[in-house]
Amino acid sequence: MSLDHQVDAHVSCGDWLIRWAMVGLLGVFGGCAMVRGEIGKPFPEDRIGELQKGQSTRQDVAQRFGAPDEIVEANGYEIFHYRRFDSKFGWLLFFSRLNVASDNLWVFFNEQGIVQDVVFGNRTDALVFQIWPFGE
Amino acid sequence: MDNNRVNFLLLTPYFLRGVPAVVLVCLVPLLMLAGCDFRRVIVNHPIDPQALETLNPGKSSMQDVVQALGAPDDITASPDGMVWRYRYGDAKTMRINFGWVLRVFFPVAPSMNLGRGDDAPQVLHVAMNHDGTFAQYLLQQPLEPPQFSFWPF
Repeated sequence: MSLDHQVDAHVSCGDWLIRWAMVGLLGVFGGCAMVRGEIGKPFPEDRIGELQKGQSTRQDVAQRFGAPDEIVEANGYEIFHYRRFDSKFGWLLFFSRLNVASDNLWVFFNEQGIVQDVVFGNRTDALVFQIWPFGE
Repeated sequence: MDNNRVNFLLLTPYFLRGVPAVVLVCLVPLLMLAGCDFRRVIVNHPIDPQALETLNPGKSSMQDVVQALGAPDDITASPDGMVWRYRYGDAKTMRINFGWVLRVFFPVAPSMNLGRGDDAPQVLHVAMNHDGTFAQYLLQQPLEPPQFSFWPF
């Protein structure tokens, strides 16, 4: 048998092995994943807009957003704190990145229990799925 | 068949013959990285020191602070009014499983991991006066950004 024929025989055998090796490698390397986790529901901004400073009461706030996650007393205010968390996780082979962000709604009440101020910040809107862990 | 091709074929393991060179070149770094693991966790957005420069002590209102920095993560009472806190976190973890190489030779490979995590939290404290105006701020920044490193010792 000439060398050319020997090489051809090895290649055809190699093709079969390569396919199985690729399947094996994929198994070894794992794969990829995109996972999202949320705690709490998004704050409807129209409901936040319905809160009237100097008019809305604790009851109005509770009707729209439910019971607060936390009540803080500071600077003469009673403050209702509502939180929401969102996380996006990307994983490919050896690289993974988890981005977490929170939205916070703070409602300030005066001594009469009337809304004095409303502070809302939305960070989760800008949250993205990312895999590459390097750089910014 | 020329001698160079014959030499190349004899040096290449028989099961890899016929695989395009590009595939082999891509597979080598993949095989080298297979025992590695790079993870990063980012909580919230980095605090922008330039946004703080827009705030005027005794003048800027709560809404001005919110416009510049967003809503705080935490509010606590203080003797002079209250303190708003903003938090940002960046953590990097790297791990290498040196036992991974044994998978090639043995059906069961032990895990032999070396790994390390590095965290760089950033906290901004914003003090507010009794009248609800901005008083001052204190920004706690990490000395250096977190690094990927697997060496735990």
